[in-house]
Amino acid sequence: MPANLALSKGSSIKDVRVFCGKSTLSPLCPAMSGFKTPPPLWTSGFQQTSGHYHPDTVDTITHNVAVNKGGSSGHYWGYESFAVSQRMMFRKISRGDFVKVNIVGGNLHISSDIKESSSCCCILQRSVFSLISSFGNCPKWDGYCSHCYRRERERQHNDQRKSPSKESNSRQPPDSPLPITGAKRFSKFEEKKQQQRQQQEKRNKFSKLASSLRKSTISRDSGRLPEPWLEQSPEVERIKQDYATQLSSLPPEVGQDINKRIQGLCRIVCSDSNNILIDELSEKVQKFYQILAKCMDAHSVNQELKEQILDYCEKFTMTVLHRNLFCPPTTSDEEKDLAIQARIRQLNWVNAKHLDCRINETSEEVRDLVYTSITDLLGMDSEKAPQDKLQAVVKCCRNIFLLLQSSVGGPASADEFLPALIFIVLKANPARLKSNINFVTRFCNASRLMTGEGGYYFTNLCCAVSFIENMTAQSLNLPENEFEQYMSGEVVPTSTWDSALMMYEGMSLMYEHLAALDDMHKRADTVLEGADLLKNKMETFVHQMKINVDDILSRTEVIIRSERVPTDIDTENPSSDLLPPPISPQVVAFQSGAEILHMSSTLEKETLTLPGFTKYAFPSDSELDALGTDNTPLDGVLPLPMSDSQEFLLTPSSSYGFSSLDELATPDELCAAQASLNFVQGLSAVNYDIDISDTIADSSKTSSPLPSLVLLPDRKGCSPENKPGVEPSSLLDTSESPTSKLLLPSPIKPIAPVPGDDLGEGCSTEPESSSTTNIQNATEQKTLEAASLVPNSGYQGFTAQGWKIQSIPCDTGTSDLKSSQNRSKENLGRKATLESVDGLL
Amino acid sequence: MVQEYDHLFKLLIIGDSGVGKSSLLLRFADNTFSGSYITTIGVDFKIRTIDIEGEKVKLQIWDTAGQERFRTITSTYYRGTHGVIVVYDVTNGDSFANVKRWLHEIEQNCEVVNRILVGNKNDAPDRKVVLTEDAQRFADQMNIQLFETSAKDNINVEEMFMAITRQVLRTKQEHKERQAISKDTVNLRPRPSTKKKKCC
Repeated sequence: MPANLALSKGSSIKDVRVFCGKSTLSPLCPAMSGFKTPPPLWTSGFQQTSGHYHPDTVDTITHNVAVNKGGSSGHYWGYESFAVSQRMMFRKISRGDFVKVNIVGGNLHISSDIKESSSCCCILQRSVFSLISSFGNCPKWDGYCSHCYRRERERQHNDQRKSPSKESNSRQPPDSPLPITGAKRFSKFEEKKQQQRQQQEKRNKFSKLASSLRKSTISRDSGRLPEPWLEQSPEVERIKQDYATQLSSLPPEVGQDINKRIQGLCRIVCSDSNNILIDELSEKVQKFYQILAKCMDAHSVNQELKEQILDYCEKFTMTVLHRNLFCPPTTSDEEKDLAIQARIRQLNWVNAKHLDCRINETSEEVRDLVYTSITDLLGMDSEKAPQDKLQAVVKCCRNIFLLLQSSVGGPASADEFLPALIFIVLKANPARLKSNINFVTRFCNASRLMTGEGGYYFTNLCCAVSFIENMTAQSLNLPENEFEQYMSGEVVPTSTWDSALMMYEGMSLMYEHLAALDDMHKRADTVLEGADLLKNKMETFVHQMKINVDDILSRTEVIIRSERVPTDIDTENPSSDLLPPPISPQVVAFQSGAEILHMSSTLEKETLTLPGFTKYAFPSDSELDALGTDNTPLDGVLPLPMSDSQEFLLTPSSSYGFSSLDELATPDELCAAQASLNFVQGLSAVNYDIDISDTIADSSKTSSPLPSLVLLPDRKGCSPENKPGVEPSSLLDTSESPTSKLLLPSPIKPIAPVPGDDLGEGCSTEPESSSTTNIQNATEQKTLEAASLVPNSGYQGFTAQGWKIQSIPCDTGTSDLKSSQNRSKENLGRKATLESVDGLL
Repeated sequence: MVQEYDHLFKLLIIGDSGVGKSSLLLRFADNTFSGSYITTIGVDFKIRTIDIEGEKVKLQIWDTAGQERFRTITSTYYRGTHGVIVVYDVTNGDSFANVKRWLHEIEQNCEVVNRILVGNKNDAPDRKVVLTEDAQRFADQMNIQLFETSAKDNINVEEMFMAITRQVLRTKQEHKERQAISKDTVNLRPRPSTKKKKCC
């Protein structure tokens, strides 16, 4: 969580303070730098906060405190703010509450980003964050932030004033070190530091006491323990306890010596921290370490113990002196911190790719490790002792190696490590980075820093920072202008870490789904396998059964055959008779067909006076003899002479028969058709009739066999004997007489050409029926024609006369059959005579 | 006085990226391990204690990033360094050409430091580009010892590290002798001893 508001209830409240990061923010600071445009309530807020520290006025914070993040896009709430941006924290406060707003990674923000307000509307109405704030401004700094405090201090120095401000004095509670609460831990160092500074300022005043009370917060209460700094912090106590065993194992004189030296150092540092250069201090501290080491060497202290004692000394002194030595006002550390912080913020667009570091941003494991290492790095600031800071760096770097290992898939080398570290530093933007680095460089035991793992990683961190400071377009392998654009914020690169994070959510979801899919795949596979298995089983079972059955059959062969015999007998008859009968039926069929044809032809001849008809009819039925006079080039004529054999004759004859049948049926149609065609020709001069006739002939010759074959068996089925006699005649009669009579007059003829369609006779027969029916129902005709005939469309022009037909849309051939069948059924219903025709078909 | 080593030296491995610095380090530190060393989470930092001329020498070897872009910022690495191993790739002419720059960088960052030139990846004669003669001539010119190694096949790696350690040790001893002659720096030594006397 980027921000949290912690309340420690019921504690005797001395003040309400807001902590950001690890430092305290004073509401009193007049400048609150970083606040470009103070909110309207700022002034009043400031005024009210002046009383805010007074225990009596605490109840002015009556209700609650809200913290929310505003800011435009491009501002981040810390590195993990992505998901929680715009989140508002809201806490109710009652009297006596201790309020702590702790925003992790909040140093990424500019002050205007985070607002905090209380329901009493003004007390906390101000920016929690200023750039300065991360350096810890605490009420003890006379209510100033560090920045203002320094300025104030300078001013005071110039004015030769001794106390910073009366106001602050009056405001400060008598026992300046607050009761140690959760917040205390955060503010402790700043407080101490600040106290120390105040103490320094008043050094002259209390110079006489200084030697004994140097570490104490002398400023206001002089009744402190002689060496209050030893008791001051629980942390110091803890350090003492931690090393109690080691200390006790020291020879007493060595222990005394060490204690003396530590106190001496503290005294020196405290007295001079504001007067002498930090480098000198550093030298002194390093000397102190060396002296300690030698001292122990002199007492032949065990090497391991010596290390531990040195560790203790370093930790102890540095913890105590942290506020004096860390980012002292005499240095420009703070400015550098601000500079690097701003720089890193400016570089927030840099991603792993720019640095050529192979961080697998989509892997959850890697992502977690990235966060862990970022947290470790951020933790550096919260440690006091240099070796602890160093340890934080080591932890961070180890995690980087782990994440590199899982990203790269092998032991990572320095070539990969440094870019990754730079990336982490960029994403972490640790608070007071420079101060921390300088602090460690100056006051960490040099022998430790120069060598060892910590030293190595720290060196790398220094390198990373130096790289970030000097980063150019060149070092990122970017074009100059692109780099400038990124730096100025004009352009935001698409694949930043944050967008990667944004994508990550989707990605992780996708991966989840993929995993689910995989699972389903597996399950499907197992199911399929099972199915296969089952199938195999079944097959084997069937096989087995077959074998068994065969076995049984082979065993029981005789019985079965005996059974089969009777059935065979039936088949035997035809097969045995086949030789004679096939011929005979065929002949009969043929003959019958021929007869029919003859009949039809004769009938046609009789009925049809149109010359075109005779042409068609004659060749088919009576072969060459019948038709001597063929005007038109009849395709059907040619094959006929060739087809002498019965078999050959069968199909052609049948086809001819059919065509003749067509014509039988068609006579009316045809005559109508031809008449209509004549019309058409007359009207549109289209040679449809010719084409149709050709196609009919062709189809009858080549592709007609099906219908023709159908016809034959039908006729066979109908009994060959009957054919010549009853059926055909009836057919002919029905088809002919009504149709011919009716068709001639009826203009519906256009349908007639329809039979000429590629579909062949099957269709052609129906049209005749339809044509017959047409007479009765014009509407039916419509559907018929519409459904069956492509030419219809062409004929529409002609049928324009018959408006009904005109309206019918044309369809494709496939539907023709159905419709025609339907039609034929309808026809069946209407005329018994027609039924027979259909039956034939 | 119980001490696990007599000398502690910090060695630095530099060279272009991809010449095999890390693998040299890995080979040396992990192959024949004798002493405490950091577990192999990364190959950037290794410790190994070796015996040279009867003295226990603890070596801390720092790997560095060789990328061009980090060239300017590596100065911090040189602090407190006793010896530098400059590595090039015998199959890569450019890496050899860059050796001069690396040497120059060492000069800029350290006043007196022992150097050694290492041609790594000397295991594929057919791919060798940098001839031994050329490298030797250059090394003589710069007054550096040359080693051709192969971290892959473990050729000359041990010898090379031994050589640089020996150099560093010799330098230290010479320095000590010089110190002994000039009396300014002797201060530190006597002091504890006098104290010792006092205490005892």
